[in-house]
Amino acid sequence: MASRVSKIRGVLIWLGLAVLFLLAGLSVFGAFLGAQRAKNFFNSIPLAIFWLFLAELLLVSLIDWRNRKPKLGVITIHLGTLLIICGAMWGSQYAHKLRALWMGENKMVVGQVSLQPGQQAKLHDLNIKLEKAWVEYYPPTKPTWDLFYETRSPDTLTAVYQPIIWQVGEPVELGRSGIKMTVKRYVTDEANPIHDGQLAPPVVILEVSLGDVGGELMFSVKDNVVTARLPLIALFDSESAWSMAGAPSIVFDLGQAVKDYKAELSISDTTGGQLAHKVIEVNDPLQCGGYHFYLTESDGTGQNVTIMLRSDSGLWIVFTGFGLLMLGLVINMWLSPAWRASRLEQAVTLDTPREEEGQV
Amino acid sequence: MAIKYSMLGLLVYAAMVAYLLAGLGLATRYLPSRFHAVRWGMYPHVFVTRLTKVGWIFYIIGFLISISAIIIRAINVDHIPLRSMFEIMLFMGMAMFPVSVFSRQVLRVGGEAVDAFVAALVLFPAGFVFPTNIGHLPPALQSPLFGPHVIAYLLAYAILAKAAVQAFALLITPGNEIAENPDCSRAQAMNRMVKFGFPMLTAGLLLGSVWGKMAWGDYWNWDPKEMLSLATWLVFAGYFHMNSSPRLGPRLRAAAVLLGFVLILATLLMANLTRIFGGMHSYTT
Ligand code: HEM
Repeated sequence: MASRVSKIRGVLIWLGLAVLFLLAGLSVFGAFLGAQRAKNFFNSIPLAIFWLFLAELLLVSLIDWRNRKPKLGVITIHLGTLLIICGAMWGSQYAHKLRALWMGENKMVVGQVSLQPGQQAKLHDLNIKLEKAWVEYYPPTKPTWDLFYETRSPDTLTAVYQPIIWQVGEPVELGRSGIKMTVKRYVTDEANPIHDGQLAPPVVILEVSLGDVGGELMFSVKDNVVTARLPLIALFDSESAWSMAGAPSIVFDLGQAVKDYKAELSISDTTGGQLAHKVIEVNDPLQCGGYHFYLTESDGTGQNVTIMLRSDSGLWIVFTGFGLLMLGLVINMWLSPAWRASRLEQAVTLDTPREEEGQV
Repeated sequence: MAIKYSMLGLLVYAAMVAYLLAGLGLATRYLPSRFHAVRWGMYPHVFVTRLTKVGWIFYIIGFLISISAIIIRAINVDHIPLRSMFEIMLFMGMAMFPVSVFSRQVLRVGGEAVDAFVAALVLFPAGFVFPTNIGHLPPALQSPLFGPHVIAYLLAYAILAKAAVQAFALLITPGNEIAENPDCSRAQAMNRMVKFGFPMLTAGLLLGSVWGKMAWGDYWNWDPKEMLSLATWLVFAGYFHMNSSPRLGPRLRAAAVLLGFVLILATLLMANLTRIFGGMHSYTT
């Protein structure tokens, strides 16, 4: 009996080894595929069978400890790994589909809505309302907005930006276009140059010229924007001539780095009863009704915001697995060798008993 | 490639010099035994013992200089200085010393001459290649998990680098004995280092995964850098299963450790520096 059990153990060790190296190889392969294709690959049917096989191997390796003293650390490691795989399978797209089919569960894996402040949207049986959204910036590092010279390729319309290094009263040439520009005046709210942590929008008087054509322009950046464009059409005979020349424009940009995107969300059920309310930001989602709600996109002013929600199915199984895996490793690799060594009243070593028996 | 004429640059270069001198001093241990008998003038101590001590002193000096550089950098950037490749290399240059000391004192594993040279080597790109531009922390990096995740990984890399050195030595030398490990064979020294580093590697992976859930919405995103770090983790997990198979000798295990280390280098460098693996982990500059 004992020899049969130890045979099973031997087979398990070899299988475990093979499976781990195979998965390592597949992961390197996945790194070359890129995220989307890797995701599809690892969620394909053959791989789903592989995951089930791995889970089953782990389960068997848990059971098969009868003929030897169970090692708490090793069992915890394998149990943790098993939970991670099971939790991940429970949270997968397939599992959601199967549960919808068999158990009538009505749950999305992932969903997305674009909202403006004050708007709401319904996703399944949840009402998502964006109360407010805003952007916080790092303090400005200079007193004025940034100016860029923008051109677009007439074919692809892709824009290219070149920073304009300017000083009041000094003419500069924009790229190699032959367009000359001088900032005559840069006027801002002198009493209150920073509004809510942002540089106040300026009014700029410019002199621009191309060959003999030219003149003075006044451009005022509106409130509540972080970027504004001044197309230099006036320097050309027609709009199409301007387009053909690469649609040269001057872009005014706030030039402050974003510190935080924030959104105030309310979630309610179909009867209108509020379920949750929170100011969310990147790294701080809202959790409600079996989902996490994330702020995934926001323009520089917070006027257009995308909220994503993701199913939490299996999440806590996975996180429990993380905890057990970590705990088991600490027990097996740090605590038990240290304990063993201190019991032997020797210097602390991290050897296994096998090593001390001289088999390594 | 450019020389940095700044206080920070100066500190990096000073630390590099100290580490190189430390490495040279500590490496005298490997001189053939006839040199060990040479006396230093009238002093009763043997020459080599003295030079190893000098090596340790330079190692401490290099460590103190790199700690100062990290503190100055932290004050300048006003966040945990682990964002750019410059900062990551600086941290690695600092971390080798505590790893060496812990390994010698607690795990009884030596090899600090190589550690000191490795510290000088990782400071080289900080000193000459990567820029010291100061960047604000973007929203995605503002998480309490940012520091622990990166520190766990970098410490694991430093520790597993030491394991790889033992593995390499095991592969290229026929005997299993080594003078600098006080009470164990090379295979045991390698095993102790892997057991020290693997939980740290796992902590890095799991903290990153929890952070991914908070920031991006998923604890696994199949991003190339994630896939490479998973492959690394699996190779070391495989290594532990090799321990249980008496038929797989120390040389094969050493090969697994070296393979794991190659994957670490791929994760750390290729995912950040090349365009082959574009992905979500491209905050580092
Ligand atoms: C995927 C992550 C895995 C990790 C991190 C892991 C880790 C470990 C560790 C640390 C040991 C202890 C080695 C020792 O004390 O010498 C061990 C032993 C073992 N593992 Fe795993 N393992 C994993 C997966 C698997 C799988 C998939 C199997 C499936 C067959 C398996 C089967 C075994 C067996 C049978 C042992 C017993 C070895 C012995 O008692 O000598 N493991 N594992």
